[in-house]
Amino acid sequence: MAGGSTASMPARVEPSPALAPAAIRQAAAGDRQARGAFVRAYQDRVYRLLLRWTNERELALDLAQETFLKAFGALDRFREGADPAPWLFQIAHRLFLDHLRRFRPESLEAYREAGALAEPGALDQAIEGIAESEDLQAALARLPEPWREALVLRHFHDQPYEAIAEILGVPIGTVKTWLHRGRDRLRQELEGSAR
Amino acid sequence: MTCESAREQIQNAVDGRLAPAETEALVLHLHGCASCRAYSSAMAELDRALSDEASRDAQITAPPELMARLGLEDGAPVLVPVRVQPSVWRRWLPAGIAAAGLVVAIGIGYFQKPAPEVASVEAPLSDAEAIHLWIDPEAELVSWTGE
Repeated sequence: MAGGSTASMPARVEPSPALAPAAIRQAAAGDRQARGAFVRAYQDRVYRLLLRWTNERELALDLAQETFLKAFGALDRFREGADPAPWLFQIAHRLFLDHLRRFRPESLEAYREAGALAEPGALDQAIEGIAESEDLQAALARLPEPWREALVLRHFHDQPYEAIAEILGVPIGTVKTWLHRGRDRLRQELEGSAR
Repeated sequence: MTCESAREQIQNAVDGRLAPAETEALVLHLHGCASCRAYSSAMAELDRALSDEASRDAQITAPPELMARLGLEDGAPVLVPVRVQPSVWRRWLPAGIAAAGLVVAIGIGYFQKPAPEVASVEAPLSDAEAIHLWIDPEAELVSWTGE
């Protein structure tokens, strides 16, 4: 039944790596080994998120680097026991917005309006090499940034509405709207490409 | 239930945010509305496609140079703080200043080399803004696990 099948949750739930609070404290204190462990625990998720948002390998790498550098500077204030992943995602998002502000103001305007299509970036080879769904990827890349950001956080990183709202700095209602519009646009594009 | 609200509920169902009573009302609507059934099927198909794509996405790993850029790869030099004795400090103050300047200049050059992007990027973002919900002690912690 259609209604039942739509009620599924994202199929892949990525567990957060368990880093002991002591390890985070050591990383906050500047311990190089602990910082290495911290980066190894979260680098793939942060990089993948940024790669999907930017569609550019070098830019994703730059922003991932900046994300961890900023995180190192703030780790001493990190709440013990909290999941660092959404916190890192929020830092990454601020840096991505800052990048748009400086280098692609037209995209930032689109971000604010959340209506116009953003310029699709060149899909990264890492994604192209392993993906079979070029249509879906291309449609994702053509979405306005905020819609794509919300969809990637929801479907690829299994973040709940509340977390997405905090990461993107918008109300939950806006997250819901962006997800709905993003999926509607994807559906329309995929139906169009299938014809 | 209107078709517009039915489609919103279908989207909510994709995110697992549909209450049982809402599900019943939606199912009732779907029984009598072929258009919304088609929409629901399309959304279910999209949800599956996104799940498949998420599985492929999970195979992507961060490039090894990220660790290198952060100076955390194996074999990277470890900085050791040097303590200067007061008496030595006073005696060699002029030479120490010159040497320190040289060390700083070399150090800046050294550290800028693996990470020129960071050194050249302004940082208008506020850390306090970025982390306001996750830090102790003043900020209130928001649960990320739905607790």
